[in-house]
Amino acid sequence: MNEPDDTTLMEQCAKGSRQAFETLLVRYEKPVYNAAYRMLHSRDDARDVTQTVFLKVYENLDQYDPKYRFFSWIYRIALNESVNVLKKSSRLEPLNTETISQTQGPEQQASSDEMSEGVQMALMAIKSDYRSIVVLKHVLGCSYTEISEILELPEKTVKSRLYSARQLLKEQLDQDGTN
Amino acid sequence: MAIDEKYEELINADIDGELSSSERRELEAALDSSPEAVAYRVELLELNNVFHNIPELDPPPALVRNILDQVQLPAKRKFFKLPSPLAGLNPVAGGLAFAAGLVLAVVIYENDSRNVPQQDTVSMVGAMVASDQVNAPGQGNNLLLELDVLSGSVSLNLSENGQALEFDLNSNQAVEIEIDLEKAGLMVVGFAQDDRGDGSFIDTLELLGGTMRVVNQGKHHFVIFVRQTPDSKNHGKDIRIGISQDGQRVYEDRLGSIR
Repeated sequence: MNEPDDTTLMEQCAKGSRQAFETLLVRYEKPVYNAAYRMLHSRDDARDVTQTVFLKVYENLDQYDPKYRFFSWIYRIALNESVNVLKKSSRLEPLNTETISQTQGPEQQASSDEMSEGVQMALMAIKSDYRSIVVLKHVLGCSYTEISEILELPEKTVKSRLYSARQLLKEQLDQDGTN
Repeated sequence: MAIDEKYEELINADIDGELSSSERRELEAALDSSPEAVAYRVELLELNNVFHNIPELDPPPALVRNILDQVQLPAKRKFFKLPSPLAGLNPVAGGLAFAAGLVLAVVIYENDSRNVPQQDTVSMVGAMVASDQVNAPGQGNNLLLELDVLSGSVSLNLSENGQALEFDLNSNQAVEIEIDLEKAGLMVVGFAQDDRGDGSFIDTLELLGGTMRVVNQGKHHFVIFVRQTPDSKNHGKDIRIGISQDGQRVYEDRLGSIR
């Protein structure tokens, strides 16, 4: 049997269905967590952001407008919350890779995937608005139109920022010898 | 390596799977004629491949349960946050003057009106409070908080309409504060948040049964106005306050209510 779509689940949530909320939670927990991790490079922060995102969804059930796609709404909340964490920890500006290496916790140091770690460090070295677009495109698999809707930016701006972000990432990865 | 802007756009769109058939023909022509375009495409494909190979991370196993433990679905909630704090509100009786520009947020509670005279309920719901009047006058009790997760104070003072539980809180992370009013024979009659915090609303404010639940993240100054329930003599005098983070209780204490 097909699972109900997001809009149906949101309607059921608004009527008090805990099961519907749990289904949405299970459906979006992983992408939200991964997006937050790629934005923040910290599992603890990614966990906190994921928790905050779903609590905000729950608190604002009545404000959800079904003419927009649910994932656009939740991904927007996830990115905004991630940026809030960056602001609070004064990490909004990109860190240079040397600084990132020095500030890694044990969880990052234990990572066996050097390629993944190299990409993550390159991501952390670009500005958060570029990083958001890369995360939406390459982590969450969104189209230009979807990114435009989520970030509330013209599609032209989305493309331009994505191309620039890629260029910066390539330079960063070349510099690190990862790419 | 300089590359024509049009080629750049076509190659990126190709990588992203957003190329129309006419653009594809245009791209193929570009790749036939421009070695720079070919090299740029190879670089982008390599970058795309790098992202394809990044493993997806699994969230902590307890995350879903932790989130579910923190939510109560709407049927059980009595929670009103006004999108525009001042819209549609009228100052109410009670002697609390309204000073424009000073109020950051006003939230109105619907009280359980059982056993409460109707006129009292009407007069007490929806207090508008200026920041210079949030500090209710009179003697009260004070609780200083110097926790790892939260600092600030909670105090209970007399106000013209009853009692005012004043919170001055500061926390980097989301911290949940539970105030058990029912066991102290108290009921909520209003809430006000002023402009002495960091400018944001407190994250969550809920009244579940006789327990007030507030989630604080950032710096906030707010007051919960309470008054005695008609059967308050049958209850204890202490207001129990519990503080939790990530579902774990980190602090508990009591404030003596004023009788």
